[in-house]
Amino acid sequence: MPPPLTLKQLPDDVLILLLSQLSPSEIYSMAQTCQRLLRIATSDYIFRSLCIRYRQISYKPSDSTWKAWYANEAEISKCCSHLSQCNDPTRWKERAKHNRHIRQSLPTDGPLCETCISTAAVADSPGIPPPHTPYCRGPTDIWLCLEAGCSSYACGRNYARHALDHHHASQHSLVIRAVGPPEACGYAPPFDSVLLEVGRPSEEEIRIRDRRRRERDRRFVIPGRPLVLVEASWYNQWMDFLRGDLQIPPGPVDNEPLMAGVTPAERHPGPDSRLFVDYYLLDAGIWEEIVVPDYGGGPRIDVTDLTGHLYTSMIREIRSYLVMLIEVHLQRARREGTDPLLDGDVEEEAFFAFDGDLAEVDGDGDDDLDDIDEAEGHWAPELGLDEDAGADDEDWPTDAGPFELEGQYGIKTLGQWMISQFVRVTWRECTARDTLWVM
Amino acid sequence: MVKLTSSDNQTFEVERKVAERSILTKNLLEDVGGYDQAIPLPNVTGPVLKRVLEYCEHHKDDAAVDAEEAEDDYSQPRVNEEIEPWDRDFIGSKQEVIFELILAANYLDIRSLLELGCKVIASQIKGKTPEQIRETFGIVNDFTPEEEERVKRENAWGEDS
Repeated sequence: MPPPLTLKQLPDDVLILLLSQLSPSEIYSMAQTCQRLLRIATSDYIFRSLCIRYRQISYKPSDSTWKAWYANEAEISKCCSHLSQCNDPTRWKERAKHNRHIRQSLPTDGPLCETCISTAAVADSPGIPPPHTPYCRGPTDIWLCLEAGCSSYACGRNYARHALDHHHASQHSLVIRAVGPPEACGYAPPFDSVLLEVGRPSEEEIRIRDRRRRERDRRFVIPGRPLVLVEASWYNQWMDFLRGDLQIPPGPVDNEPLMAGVTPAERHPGPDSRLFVDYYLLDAGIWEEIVVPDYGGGPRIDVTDLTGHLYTSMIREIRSYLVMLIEVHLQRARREGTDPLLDGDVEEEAFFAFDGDLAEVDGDGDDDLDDIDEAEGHWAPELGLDEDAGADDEDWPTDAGPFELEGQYGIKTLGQWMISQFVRVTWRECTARDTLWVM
Repeated sequence: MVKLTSSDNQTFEVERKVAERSILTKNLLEDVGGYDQAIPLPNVTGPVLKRVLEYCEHHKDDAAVDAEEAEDDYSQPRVNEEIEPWDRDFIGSKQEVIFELILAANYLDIRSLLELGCKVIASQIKGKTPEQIRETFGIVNDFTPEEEERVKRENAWGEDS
C-alpha cells in the first residue's frame, strides 16, 4: 500500500492552479509555509492571475513582470479593462469562428453590413421600391462587435451607422473596425514579429482628439438654415481628419478655386462649380464657429450670394440636394418613428441618395458611387479597435512608446486571431479610463 | 463503448462520451478513430479510475470540452463558480482522496474535475495561518529563521480587497 498522497506530491502546475484560487492574503500565508510554495507563490503565473482577478487587467507592458505590474497600482488603475474583456478566449474564439464565416461569405462588392444586406434584400423584392438608403459599398467601414456571444458586424459612421445603432440597442461597447477589402486581409505577417503595442498619448494627441470631438457630430447641413460653400478638396481632408483617417488637421480653407473674376472688385463665385465635385455645403453657423476660428481662410461664399441667371444650374443642383435631404429625413422618420425635424444626421444618407440620382441621370450606373468611395480614401489598410461603435470613436492611434502586450495566453491568442484576420491592428483608447493605448 | 485499463490491469467499459470527458482519451480516440482494444492508462489505479469514471458519467452531458480551450489557460481560473452539491458530495473532504483525484484529473486532462479538487483544497486553506496550513497539509518548514522573517516582511501580494 503506497503512503497517502500529500500536497507536496502535487506537481507545480497543479499547485499554480490551486494558488490561483486563493485571495492575496491566502497566497501570502501559503508563501510563508515552505520554500517550494514560496517559489510558486512568487511566480509570474500567480501574479498574472492576481492581475486578472483583482485588477481586471490581463495585459502588461513588455518591460515589466507580472509581479511588478501587479504592484504598480498607479499605472494599472489607468488601464482599460475593456481590452481585458476582449482578451477572454471564449470571446475571441466565437468571434474568430464567426469571422471566418463572414470572410468566406463576404461579397467583394456591395453591402457588407448585415442590416444593409437585409435592407438591400428587401429592396430587391418585386413590388417594393428601393429605399434611398445608403449602405456600405464595399468592405470599407465595418465594425465587428466583440461582445461574447454577439456576432454583429455593421457599417460605421461613414455609411448608415448601423454599428452605432447596434451599440445603442445592445449597449455592447467593444468593437473592432475592419477596413480594407477582405481579399487583401489574411496575409498577415507571422505573429512573432508583431506584438500589440501600448503607449501613452502625447499632449498633442490629446489636444487633437479633443478638437476632433468638438468639431464632429454636428449636422453640417440643415435645410432652412443659411448655407455656405466650401471647397471640396479641403472639405474632404477635413472629413478625413474628423473620421480619424487623417492624423493632422488640414490647413486654412481655400475657397479661391470657387471664385471667378480677375481684379479684386470683379471677384465673384464661379458659376460652373459642381456640388460634391468642386464644393460641399456647410451650415453657416459651423463655418463661423469652427471653420473660421480653427482653420481660418476664406472667402466665405453664401448660397444666398448665388443670385441671377448665371447661377441657375448651381441653384438647381443645391435645391435638388436639399429636397433630397428633406426626403431622406422624412423617410427615416417614417421608418423609425422619429421627429423628422429634430432627429438624425442624414447628410450622408442624402449625399448617397443624391449621388445615386445623379448617376441615373448620367446613365452610368454605380460608377460614380465607386469613384466617390475611392475619393474618400476609405481603403486605407487600417484596422482599429474602439470602445464604442463609432459613437465616440477617438480615432487616434499613437506611436508613443514601445509598450508591448504579451500574455501567457490571452492577448497572444487574441493578437494571433486579429492578425490572422486583418493586415494590421490598431487599438484605441477607451473613454472609461484614462490611458493605456494600444497601437 | 470504450475500454480503459488502469495501472493495475482493471478494465472498465464506458460510453464513448463518458471517456471523452478526458481530453487525453478524447484525443487518443480521435487519433485512432475506432478503438477495439482497451486504452491503457498506466498512471491511474483501478479504484481511482473507477471514481473518475463515476464523475465523468455524471457529467457526460455537460457542454463538450474544447480540446484547444482546455489546454489554453491555467491562469484564468473560473473562481467564483459555485460548487454543485453533487460534486461536493462526490469529492468529499478527505485530503488524500482529493489529491488522488486531482492527480488523475491532471493526467487524464479533465479540467472541471481538476478545478473542483483545487477549489475544495483552496477552501480548506482559507482563513488559516501559515502554521495551521503546515499542520493541515503536512508541510515541513524548510526556511531558515532569517528567510522566514524576510518573507513575512515582504508581502508582495497585498491585502484582500
